[in-house]
Amino acid sequence: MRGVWKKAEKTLTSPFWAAVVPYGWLLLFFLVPFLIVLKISFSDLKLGLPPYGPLTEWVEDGVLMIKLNLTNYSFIGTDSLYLFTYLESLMIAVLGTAGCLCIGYPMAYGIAKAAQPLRTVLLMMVILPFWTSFLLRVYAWIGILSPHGFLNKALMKVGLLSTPLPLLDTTFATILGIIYCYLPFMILPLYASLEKIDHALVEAAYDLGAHPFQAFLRIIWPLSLSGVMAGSMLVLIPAVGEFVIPELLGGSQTLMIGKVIWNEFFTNRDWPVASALAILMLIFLIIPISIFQRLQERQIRFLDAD
Amino acid sequence: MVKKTKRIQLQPWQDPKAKPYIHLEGVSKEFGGILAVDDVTLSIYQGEFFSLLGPSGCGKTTLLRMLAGFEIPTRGKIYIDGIDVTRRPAYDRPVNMMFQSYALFPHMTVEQNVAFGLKQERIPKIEIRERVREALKLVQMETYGTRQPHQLSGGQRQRVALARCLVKRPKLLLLDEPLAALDKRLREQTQFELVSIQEEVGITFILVTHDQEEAMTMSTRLGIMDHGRLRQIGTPNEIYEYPHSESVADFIGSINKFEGLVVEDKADHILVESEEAGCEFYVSHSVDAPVGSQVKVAIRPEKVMIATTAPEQKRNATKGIVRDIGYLGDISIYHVELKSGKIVLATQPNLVRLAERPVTWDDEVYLFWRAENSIVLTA
Repeated sequence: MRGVWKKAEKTLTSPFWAAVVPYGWLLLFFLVPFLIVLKISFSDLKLGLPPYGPLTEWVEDGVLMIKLNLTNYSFIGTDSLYLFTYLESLMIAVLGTAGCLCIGYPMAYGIAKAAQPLRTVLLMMVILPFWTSFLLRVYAWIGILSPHGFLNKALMKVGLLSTPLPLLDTTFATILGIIYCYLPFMILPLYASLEKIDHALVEAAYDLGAHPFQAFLRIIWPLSLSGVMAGSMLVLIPAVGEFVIPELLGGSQTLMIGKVIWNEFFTNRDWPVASALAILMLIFLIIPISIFQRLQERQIRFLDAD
Repeated sequence: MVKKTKRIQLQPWQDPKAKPYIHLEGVSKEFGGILAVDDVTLSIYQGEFFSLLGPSGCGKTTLLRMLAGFEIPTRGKIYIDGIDVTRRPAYDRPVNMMFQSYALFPHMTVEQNVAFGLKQERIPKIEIRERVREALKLVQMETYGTRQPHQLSGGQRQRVALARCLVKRPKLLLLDEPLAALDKRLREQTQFELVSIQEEVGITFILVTHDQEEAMTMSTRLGIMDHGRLRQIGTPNEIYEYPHSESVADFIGSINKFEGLVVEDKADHILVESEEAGCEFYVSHSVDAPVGSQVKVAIRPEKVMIATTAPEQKRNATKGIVRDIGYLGDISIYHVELKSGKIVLATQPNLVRLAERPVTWDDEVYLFWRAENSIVLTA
């Protein structure tokens, strides 16, 4: 009996079988759905259930015709609204990521520098907001940003404002929401890479004549680049397709691709166009991911070589 | 005559007119109420190779870090070349430090590492290239310029770290346990290389180590530290032959110590009676110990001679039984038990082969030593 277990253990921990689990997972929950969406994106719009036509058709005996409907894609190309939405989504996501980086980097640096008992508490505080519902936290911002919300009231009370600022239902509010919600995803990888930096390296830089700012620029920043990249990707990629935050905080002013896809699916019931949009978004996101992976591989090569 | 002037040059601390190059005045450092360095006053002269030696936690590294500018002294002042640098930050001092871990920047090549300090000084690119090449040549690493630190062995990293410091032409180079990460053979070889490089560049070196052999072979002078205090400063020879205190004597080499009572105190000698040793010590150099005071007399194992017949001298001689012999190849260590039960160590070079040795286990032997070789420890 033990021999059987030993054998099973050995087989399962062999490189081949160890790889089966993650690849199986990806196949089942990423590749198969992706192929379904890809298929829908090439099919015709149809009234009925499902609201799209088949890709393949038997035309005569023994002849199978594959019909690829490219109009879904060309339609997206002709209507500048889609391109505009893509660009706006990207802009909002980039600004949100930049905001996360600006706020998250000093925070991560501070946590990495903190002495041990405090460090754990600070890390806990970064993660703690996750314990409440995501939706609830976004709703809370409505209370803060609305014309009669907390922020406007406070500003008017101090006398900085006479009439409330229209903060809610703006692109600004969307970016703010993205920064708030995604900040921990930025801080955690940044902290992990900053914490690994040997303090002797910073001291060596001072010793060789580098002022604190130069030491940061030439030692700390380049050595934390893998964390910057990882954090930025973790924020940027989901932020581009974000739906809840622009829906709740952005109002009608903000058009993001997630919202457009939702509209195509549920309001227009145009599954093929919605699928084509989703596919394009994916292609669109593969570019930054592959750049990131390249950079990270280069980093890992010299950092983990010891 | 030429030889004599050279000797004086090598020992600036004996010249009353010589100006110290590095001067620490009553330097103390507290960490959360605990004194890591306690009132250290020390003068080091230009071109010296000075070692701070002591057990771990004795404050030697803290002292070094204060010289580098990573720690600010709680009290006291530090002068380098006559300038008060006590409160100057590390990046504004003419001092460079070689870290124990070498602290090479992992994202830069060897050349970029060495050039780092020069780039901070905004030196023209051509000059940087030239000086980097020179520095790498000095440490025999000129062909490794484009490598990354992780592609180098421990000894090679150590050389690059040294080149990175030397290229700045500092007034003072600090070395924090520079050889601790190397294996024994490489360490011995590197010791001599470091000394010859130091002589070549003429920069003052201060080395921190817990390895007494390293300190003895490399330095012009050394300072023994213990519990934050500087116990004794002297040449390796002075420290070994004339330790002032028990802690210094214990830390450097092994030593036999005997309790004794001063019975005669003359200008050219003192006489100490020791029941523990079973004899009188005639010490042929003056010691500041009045008649009647309790002292410890110490003698190094290699200064103790062994004979099977009684020596002529009555003082500085005792007898005992051989209890153990440690054979180390080149020398043997004899453990001889005296009448008082005290074990005395005596080392003898193995002039004859093991089998032909005249003294063996449980033999009664006579131990004797020369009058100038015993040390009186007053502290």
